[in-house]
Amino acid sequence: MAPNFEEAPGSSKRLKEEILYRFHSKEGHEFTMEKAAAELSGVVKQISQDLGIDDDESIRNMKPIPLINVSSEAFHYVVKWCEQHKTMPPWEQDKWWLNERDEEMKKWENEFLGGLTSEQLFDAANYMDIKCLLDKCAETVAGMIKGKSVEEIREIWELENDFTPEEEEAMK
Amino acid sequence: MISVTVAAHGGRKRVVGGHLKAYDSGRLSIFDLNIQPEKLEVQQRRQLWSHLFDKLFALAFLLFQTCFPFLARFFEKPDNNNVEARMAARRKSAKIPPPAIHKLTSKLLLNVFSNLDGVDIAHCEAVCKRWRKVIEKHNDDMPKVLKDQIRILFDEGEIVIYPLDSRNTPTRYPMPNLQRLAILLRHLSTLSLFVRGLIPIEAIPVLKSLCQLSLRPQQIYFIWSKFSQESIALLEELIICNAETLTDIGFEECSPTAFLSDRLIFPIVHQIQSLRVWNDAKSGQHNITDVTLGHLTRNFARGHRLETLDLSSCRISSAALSKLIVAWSKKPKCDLSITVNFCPDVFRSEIVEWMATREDLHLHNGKLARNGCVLTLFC
Repeated sequence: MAPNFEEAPGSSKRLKEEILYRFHSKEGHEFTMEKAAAELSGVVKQISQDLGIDDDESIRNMKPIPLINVSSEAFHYVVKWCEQHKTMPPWEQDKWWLNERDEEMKKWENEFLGGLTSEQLFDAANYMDIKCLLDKCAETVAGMIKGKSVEEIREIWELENDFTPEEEEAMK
Repeated sequence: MISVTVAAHGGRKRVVGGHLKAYDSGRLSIFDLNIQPEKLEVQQRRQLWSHLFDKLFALAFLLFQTCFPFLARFFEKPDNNNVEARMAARRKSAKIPPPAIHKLTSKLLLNVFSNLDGVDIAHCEAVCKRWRKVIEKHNDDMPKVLKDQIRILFDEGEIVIYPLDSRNTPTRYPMPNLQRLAILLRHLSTLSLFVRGLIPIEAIPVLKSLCQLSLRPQQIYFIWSKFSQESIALLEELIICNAETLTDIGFEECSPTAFLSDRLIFPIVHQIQSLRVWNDAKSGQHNITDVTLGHLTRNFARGHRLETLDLSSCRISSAALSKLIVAWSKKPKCDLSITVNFCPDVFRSEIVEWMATREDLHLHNGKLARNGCVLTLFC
């Protein structure tokens, strides 16, 4: 792999040399994301591997990657998240204790997800295979279920109780 | 066919028929025949009337409310307990509409559920059909509520669940039918599974059910249980599917004794810390042999712990037992208590002599101390 200049907080000179991945969202808008940020996504990694792209020049010349399942709105948030996390050590699926974030980052993450209103980001994280975002989304949603009664959960998520009384009785 | 305790307590003779229900013993009914059909009908009719009455009352109340709205405030409860009002208030203050969780795919839902604990999972399961389906399908991977011990007492028709915190009182349930039993235990995992008074005709369905649950016990203990020959394969399966956690296994007065064998123990023999196979020698010999002792002896060389070895009526020999004791003395990790009863080929004098002549080890009052650990031999 080419040396990663981007990981060092960039001087203005380096910013000019930024290597950008290009994407098309569902609506056809074009987005760009810096290499280090974009490579948080397992899908991006996989695609560039499949296309045999390994040097910066070919990334620049690459056609935009179409993300047919990701809306522009969601992608906007994905870019924000990835830019914030591009310097983080890789996410460890099994060794969760290595994923400890510092206070500042935690605060940023919580604020970031606190303002979210749709499942689209969650879906996008899943589709693009961004592990750290996916896990954080799951954790946030779980936090909204934790300690609630059945009725409260239905109420919050506006879910309908579709059990027959007999089925409900059988569960108790 | 009468289980030990039922017979001992002079319970009425158990009728063993197609429905497999034993009267008065509170036994598990494998088919749902708890209520006699004519009783069921009466119950349903009564339900119908009470239902109709409820409806009428609600209608009257509604009319009353619309006619005299100013009286309504006397009936209104304070809002504190009103979930809807509270939620609406919360939402208004936060000014965010809820994320549309029902649009999440099953995979994402699973991801969410894995962040919850067993109690929350139980709540989620009751929310809607889709959630329940997801949870049921992946029940093995769902977070569980950990309990100290689950006792399934078939002879007394009771299930007792001991919480981890021993200051809390255990919960008792009358023995439900098998389906209910599975529902009751589905979100639990436990340190110890204790089964008493299983009888042969129930063995297959019960063991099948226990295999399907993921209780992940460290200890499994069967007492006064009779297995059928066909159910032994399931007993093996139960041990295999809990092999990850199981380190302590015990059979007390269980039959048929011939099937309590090396083969049964084999899947977990490399990690066993406590092995108890006990009876009073009247019901026959167990098929635990020197093979198992050999495995345990080799475990010591690997630095494994063994705490209790309690064998009765087993086909083991003095020589194998002596080798085990010698292996312990070379690498003692913790205290070990060995109790051997009714084994025709084990003689205390032989063990003592064997160890004294070959390894120069001497037992004092059946005790051997090494590196601060003590081995006790009852023989």
